[in-house]
Amino acid sequence: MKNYLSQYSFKLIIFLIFFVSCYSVSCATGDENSVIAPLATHSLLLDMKRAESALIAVGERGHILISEDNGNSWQQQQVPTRTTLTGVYFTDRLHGFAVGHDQVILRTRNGGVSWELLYEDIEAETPLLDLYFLDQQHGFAIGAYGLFLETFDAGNSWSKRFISEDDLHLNKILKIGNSLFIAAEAGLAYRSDDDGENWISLTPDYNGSFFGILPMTGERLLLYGLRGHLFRSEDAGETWEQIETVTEASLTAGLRLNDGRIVIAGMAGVLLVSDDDGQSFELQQDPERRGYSSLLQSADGAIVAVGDFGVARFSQTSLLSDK
Amino acid sequence: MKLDILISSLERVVFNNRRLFLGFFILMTLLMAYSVTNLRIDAGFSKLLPLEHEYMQTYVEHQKEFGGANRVLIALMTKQGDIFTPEFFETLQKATDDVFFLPGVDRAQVTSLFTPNVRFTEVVEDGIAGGNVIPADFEPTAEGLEIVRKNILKAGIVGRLVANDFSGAVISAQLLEIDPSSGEKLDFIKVADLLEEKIRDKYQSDEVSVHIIGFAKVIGDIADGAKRVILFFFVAFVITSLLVFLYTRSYLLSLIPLSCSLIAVIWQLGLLPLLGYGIDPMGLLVPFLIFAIGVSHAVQMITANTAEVRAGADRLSAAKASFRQLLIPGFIALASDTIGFVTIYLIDIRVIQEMAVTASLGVAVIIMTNLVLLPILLSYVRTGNRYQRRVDQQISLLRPFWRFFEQAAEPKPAMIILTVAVILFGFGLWKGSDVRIGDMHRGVPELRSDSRYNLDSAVVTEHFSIGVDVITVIVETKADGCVDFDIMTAIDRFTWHMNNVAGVQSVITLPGIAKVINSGWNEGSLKWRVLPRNQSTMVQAVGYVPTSSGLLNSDCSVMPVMIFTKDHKAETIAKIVSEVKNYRETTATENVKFRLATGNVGVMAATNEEVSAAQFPILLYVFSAVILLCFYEFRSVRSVLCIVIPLALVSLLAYALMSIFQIGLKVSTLPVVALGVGVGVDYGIYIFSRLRSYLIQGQSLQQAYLHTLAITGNGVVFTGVTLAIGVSTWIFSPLKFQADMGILLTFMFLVNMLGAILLLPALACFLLKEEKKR
Repeated sequence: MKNYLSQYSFKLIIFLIFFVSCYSVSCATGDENSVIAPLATHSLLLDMKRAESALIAVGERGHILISEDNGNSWQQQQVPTRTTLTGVYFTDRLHGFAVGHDQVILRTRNGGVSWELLYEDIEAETPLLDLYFLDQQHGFAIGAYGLFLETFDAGNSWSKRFISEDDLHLNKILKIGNSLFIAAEAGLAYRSDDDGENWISLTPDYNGSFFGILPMTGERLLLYGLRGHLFRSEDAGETWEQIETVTEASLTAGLRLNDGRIVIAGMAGVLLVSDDDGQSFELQQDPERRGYSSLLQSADGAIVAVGDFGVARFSQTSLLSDK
Repeated sequence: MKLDILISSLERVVFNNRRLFLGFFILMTLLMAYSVTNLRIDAGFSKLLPLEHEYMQTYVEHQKEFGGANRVLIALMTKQGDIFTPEFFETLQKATDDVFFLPGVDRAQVTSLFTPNVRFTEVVEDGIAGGNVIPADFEPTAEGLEIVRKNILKAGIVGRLVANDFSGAVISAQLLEIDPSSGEKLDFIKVADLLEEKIRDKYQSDEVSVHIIGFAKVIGDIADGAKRVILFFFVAFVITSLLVFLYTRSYLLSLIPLSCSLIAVIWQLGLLPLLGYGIDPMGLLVPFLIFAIGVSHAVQMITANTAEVRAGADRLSAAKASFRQLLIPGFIALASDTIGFVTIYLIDIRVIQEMAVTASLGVAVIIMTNLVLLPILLSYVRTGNRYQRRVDQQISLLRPFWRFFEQAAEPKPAMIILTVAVILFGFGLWKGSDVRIGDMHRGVPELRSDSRYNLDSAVVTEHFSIGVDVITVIVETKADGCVDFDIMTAIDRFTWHMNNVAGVQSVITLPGIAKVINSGWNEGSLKWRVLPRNQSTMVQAVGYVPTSSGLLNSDCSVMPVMIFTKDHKAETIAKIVSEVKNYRETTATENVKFRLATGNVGVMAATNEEVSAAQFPILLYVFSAVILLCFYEFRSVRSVLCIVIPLALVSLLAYALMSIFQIGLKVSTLPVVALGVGVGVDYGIYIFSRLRSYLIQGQSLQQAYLHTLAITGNGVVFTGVTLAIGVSTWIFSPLKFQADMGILLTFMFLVNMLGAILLLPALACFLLKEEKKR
């Protein structure tokens, strides 16, 4: 009987600690806050960026995870939404933004410790899918059905416009050299040479979706997407060459390693590796068939990946086997 | 005294009408024997459930819609290499065909690589494309197998229909409650036999091993084990008979107690069909207990009779004297037993309640057979001089033995005994409090962890992502709840919450599937793996999930949340249950009601709660009854203490034993604890009443105890040892619950006996001396 008692009182204490801490810190602002969960590092994570030494990953249920030790351990942050977050961007170690479904836009000014909800449009039923900031003031958030939002005041106000007559899904936005690129649906990509004022269509020979763009050296870049389609351009997207990939899985994430090798990852555990600047790729199958959504190389050289499995870390040399 | 008048008038009635009584017993036994022929094995599933429990109410309400949990899984595993060989595919195809033709199989639901309901889908530029995993033009060539391998990956069935390491494949079938070909209730035991005969024996080879799991198979294996229970009964019977013969040294005198006890068993079994009961594996143990208790009382009667004969009485007056001496203590002891059995009725599970009724009736029958019939029979037995000599021999042989035990009633040794008892009491408190409720081992708790079924189950869980321990929370919403974003979100959040609970392996729900399908409609992009707010998009996401998945009902107002657990230890279950309760209290959503619980672990949760709720009342009632009856008989608190303290110590030690042997307190073991008290009180009452009768005659305690030992003690030690030996054979039973009961009962018989001949006199030495002085 004594054992039972001590067991219960122990549980009670633990419970009280949780209860009190929950009410004093996290649960104070209402129901729609993200919930700190032990398994957050195993939840669906959709984007990840590096801000100096820190790695920031975002995903389902308003999960934002920060690692200060190159992806070995992660701390889940308190976020004022439980919506699925699809993109994250940091302009420096302190200032960052995240976007997601219901068109939520979140901002942090203290390196991700606390987040404020700047913008939200639930009625539109259109998700934001990615974002990019040219500097702390001027940024873009893009999403489904041609959704294009722009801010000039660090996210306090957003204006909506269309960058083309098609209302295609805009999947990925980033800057390469002096140009902005957007990977879009239906075999289209867009480029802007004037910081997002005007956009021109780029047309590789494909009619499926593109999910990502990877800059290489100079004006060389890779564009990849549905069913293993991968295109390479040497002239900032003016002309394209399709690269053989021997996979039918969608390609979703790319990374150029310190040693110059290129990794493109996708669904169903597909990892494509190139050591000739993206002219040819070798397929390396992850036996666990995980779906990847973002890859990064951390400060210690390890490859950190996020996806439908949560977070994972590989060493660069063994590249594809788990650490 | 009134009681004496009653006894002597009873004695007159019985012994003046011996023939009439004999005739009555013969007639009744014949009738009951005839009734036994109507006895049938009845292993219903719902009998094993605590149907009144809140969780099982949920189960009953939704049984029709989600009752299709009666699944059989047949795993074919290659012994080397992987499954992509022509031979393996041929075996799998043939086995799949054979499964189709098993009785009671829902043919539309049979699933394996070779069934047309296993399809792959893939995202293509203009939407979604798909096909059968094994295409219609499949050829078992290297190319053909390579196509299948790719399709398997696309279909996402790795871990479900194909082993994670491609070392095997599964055929899954649902069994219907009613066999469609015969229109009758499906006989699971027969299906289990056919699975062995038509599948395992046929396809097990040097290359392929066959592993079968599922509820029907469990029932089949338990029934197989139960058949052997009869063997165990027989072994125990033979051992007991032999020992009884060694004890009485007379064929006739061994035959009488054995047949009286057997008659009690026949009556008890005969009563079952009359009451509308069948016999099920758990109930098979009752007849043996009845037999055991019967022998115990019969031996007392024989011993008393022999003592009278030795004292010079003729056979009729010896029988009368034994009747007189033992009617009251025997009646009190058997009444205590009966009450012990009746209290088990508190466990609200039908199989246990039937056991309570039939066992208490059985014990009541012993009052007739062993306290009435037996002395009548004895009154006809003429024992010759040879028998007298044998008895004399035995008595002189045992005398030093009894002299030794007599010391228990002397102050110094008594002190030592009491000290040891106090230490044991402390030990019992310490270890006994560690007793866990429920089951602690892997696999199906009714069978041993190294039984073939549990080994099969281990193979399947090791190679596939298939959980065998599941507690299902039923979520009740409104009609078309599954296309309501708020409702689906509420379930999704609950799913995630439960995912994060320690002890949970995975959680499967409709929202989880709907998110993946929604992503599928959006080119398989992970960024669209969300619940769509748009209702028509939600319809698209859930529309492809069939009700046979068990994840929704026909108007999609009810959605089960299947929580697969790492194990089914009581702590794990309790933790998960309390998390569910906490969650639903703190998180209220309109039109969403989380109800506990179905699934095998849901049943365990309810059973555990039932056992834990019944535990203290049962012991309370048993002990209250024993105390009251003893007080009625002996009219002295000190006497009651002498009898009850050893009983309490033994019960406590039984708990300690359970915790040491990792036997959980569950439906099969809680009754034993209650019965143990009943068995122990027999010994205590017999010894104490004879001891007191000598004390009243004015003998000293030591003297009185020596005489008691020579007569009653003789019987007590004999029955304790005999029954312990008989019941210890159960430890080798293939049925886990019988083995557990075997360990506990062996312990109960032996230690209660020791408590009665050692602790009782030691207590008497101190308690009764004081009383006398006063």
